[in-house]
Amino acid sequence: MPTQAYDCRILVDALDLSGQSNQFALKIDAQAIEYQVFQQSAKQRLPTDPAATLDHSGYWEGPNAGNLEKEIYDRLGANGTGQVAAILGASAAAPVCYIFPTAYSAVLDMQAQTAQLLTVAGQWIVASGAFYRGQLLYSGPVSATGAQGGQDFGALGTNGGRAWLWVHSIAGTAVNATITVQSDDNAGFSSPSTRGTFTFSTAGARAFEIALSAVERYLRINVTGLGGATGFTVSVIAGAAGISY
Amino acid sequence: MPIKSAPNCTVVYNAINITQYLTTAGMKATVEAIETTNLASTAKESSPGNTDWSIDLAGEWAKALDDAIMPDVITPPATLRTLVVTYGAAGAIATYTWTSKAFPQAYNPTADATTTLKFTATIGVNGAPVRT
Repeated sequence: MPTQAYDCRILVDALDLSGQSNQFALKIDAQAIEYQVFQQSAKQRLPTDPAATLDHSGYWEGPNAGNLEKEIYDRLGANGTGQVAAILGASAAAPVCYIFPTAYSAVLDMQAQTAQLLTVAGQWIVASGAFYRGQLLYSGPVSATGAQGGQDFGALGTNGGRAWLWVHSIAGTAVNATITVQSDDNAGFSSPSTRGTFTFSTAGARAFEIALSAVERYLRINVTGLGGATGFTVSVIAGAAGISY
Repeated sequence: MPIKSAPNCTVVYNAINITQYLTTAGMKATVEAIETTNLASTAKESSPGNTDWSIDLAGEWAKALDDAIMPDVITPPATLRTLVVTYGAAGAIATYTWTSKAFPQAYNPTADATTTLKFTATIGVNGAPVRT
């Protein structure tokens, strides 16, 4: 069954820019090296380090922080980087996510045309390190401690993994709020193990990346401390090495 | 007698049949033409050089398709994968097999709010297939 593309989201640091965006395209090139040797009539090629870019476009909604043009501009080239994620099939049982943990915007393209809406386009490029693929563990409001969600990664991951957090908003003031990533070998999480912990506060960054120790087949988040806040809205994505990426 | 493309083409990558996710499967072999024209030639002359094989795919994005391809894009496999492409109806099938010679060379999922999620991909191969 095809997936409706409107059921996608795009996150940039604390912001969910989905409501201002209408297109994205992920381009990955394996940077294949071609070579030739004797006794082989066909071209030989091997993959090297992949390179990825994420083209992203939408509509002008104003010049302020939180608007697409401003957020792309603020991260142009050396100005800064952001933690970017594209989520495909956000309402599906297992939303697939592509994550650029440190990305800068390489393009800001504004187009004004009569009888058309003012459009904004950009391109995200990984600034350093790798890009990843994962699944959305949870996205939404949290007003109390406790476990949320849960995803089946389909197989046991024996090489650990990584997780990413976007804190979209905090109600009240949080000091060292904590969210853990847990895994278990069953969907009921009868005996979960903590594989990594996010810690965040009202003052400071709103996007984080952590490594996970050896993960089992099922992953979920557990909000272990609100840090004094009355609640927050977050998105958490996790990937299992050798399974997701 | 010509036949329709569907259901007379299959693509199996790393033992995973991804045919159901494809709307297009193109396989191309291009032989390099090495010019050998010399002073005695009365017309342009060439000799065949190496053959470049490529497999271009396109279709409707699905998690299962992404599961099959994306991990190999992010972390290229140390041992390349096996790719099998078939054309033809039952009883009259041509099969091209690259055993432990294939990897995703390019992968492009796209989202446009007006339609469904789609993708294009190029499977790179190391050398020639075995045709049966």
